[in-house]
Amino acid sequence: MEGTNTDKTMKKTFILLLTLMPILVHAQEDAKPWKYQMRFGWGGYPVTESVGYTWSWCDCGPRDVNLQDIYWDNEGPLYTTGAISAEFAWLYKDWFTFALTTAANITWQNSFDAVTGLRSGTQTGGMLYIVPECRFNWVRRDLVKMYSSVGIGGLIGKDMDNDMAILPVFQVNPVGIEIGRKVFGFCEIGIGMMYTGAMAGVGFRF
Amino acid sequence: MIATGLIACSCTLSNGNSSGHTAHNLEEYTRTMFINNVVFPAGAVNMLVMLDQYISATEEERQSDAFQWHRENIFHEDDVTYMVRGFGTVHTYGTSFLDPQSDWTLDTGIEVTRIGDNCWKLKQNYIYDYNYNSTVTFVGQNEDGKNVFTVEAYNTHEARTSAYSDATVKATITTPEGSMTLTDPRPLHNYHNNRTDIPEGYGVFRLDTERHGKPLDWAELRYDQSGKTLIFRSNL
Repeated sequence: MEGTNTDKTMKKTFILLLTLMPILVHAQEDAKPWKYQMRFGWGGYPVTESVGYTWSWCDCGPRDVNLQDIYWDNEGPLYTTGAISAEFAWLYKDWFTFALTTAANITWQNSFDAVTGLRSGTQTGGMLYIVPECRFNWVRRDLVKMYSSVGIGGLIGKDMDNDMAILPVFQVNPVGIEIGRKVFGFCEIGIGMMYTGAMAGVGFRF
Repeated sequence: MIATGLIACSCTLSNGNSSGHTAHNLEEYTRTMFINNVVFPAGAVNMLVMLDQYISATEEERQSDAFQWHRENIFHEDDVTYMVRGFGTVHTYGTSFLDPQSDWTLDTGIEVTRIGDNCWKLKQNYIYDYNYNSTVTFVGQNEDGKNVFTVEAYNTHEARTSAYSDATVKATITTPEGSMTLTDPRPLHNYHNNRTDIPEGYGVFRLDTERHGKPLDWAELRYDQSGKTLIFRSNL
């Protein structure tokens, strides 16, 4: 008899919670204080630049050493800033954010005289990424949010050979976290042409 | 921490390349220039001399071991035109190559101009890095029946050294002791694939480089006493 009464109580409690759930969520949404947010971040690895500048697309095979092979400038390391981003987002729903992310990546490489070792010149390149993103917030606490996002956009820039580059960009960030209220820090893992690896930074909501 | 590490790794995309200004590269280039400016021209004249010797031989002589290579590699196109395998087509005009009045021509892109007794100037300039302008003299046959030649080489090459300026480096190729002597040279491409399989010889080949009129490097190939090995020296 006692066991039966306990089961019935649990069942009623469960049905009550299910009934109240939409009301609780709706109440949480009505309490949302922020409408927009801005974020500033820095991330890497810059896959697009790496593929464009460091992969060898020529299967040229062995050939005789010529005069230019001996005396042409040596190339120093190829440096990059990584993706430096700024984002404006519309906190449309508690579970959904629409963001417009822009990021810039500058690359540069010094050349050195083969005989004297003195710097002979510097090549530079820069890419600007513009990627609208849809962000799905699946943990929504007062202090902590976790999300996944996907974005499709484009890049425009000048590559290291002074040629213009215009390309589509696809970016998936499977998991990210924001910690804070009005002012917050964030970190996310990403796979895509803007960066593959991680990005971190700060933001504020208003 | 993982995120910070990934971000930190984004600063260097590649380590650049190492200098090409090395003794190894200078040796490779010098050996290529020796083959292009000394061996190829001497080999071209040797082909013509060997063709001439074959044409001049009797039918019985042509069947001997001394003419085995000729039988396998020389083909008649007509009475005055022959094709030499690995070399090209030669027009003899019915004369002997060693005849002072002869004027053989080649369909190989090589110009052969008689400038003296058994002495010819050879030029090839349709492939820049492989051009030459050498003087080849047929000395005669040694005791083994092989043709012996002397070669005087002089050539220059220039190349830009930077994408940021018009500065060039100039290489000057010479045979500083007058000429080199080669025995049975062939103008075949196997010399590029096997740098140790060079014709026997004697003498010195030199390469000097300069930029803005100032000397940069020098390199030298000298046959050793056996005449079978070229010893390389340079300032690097």
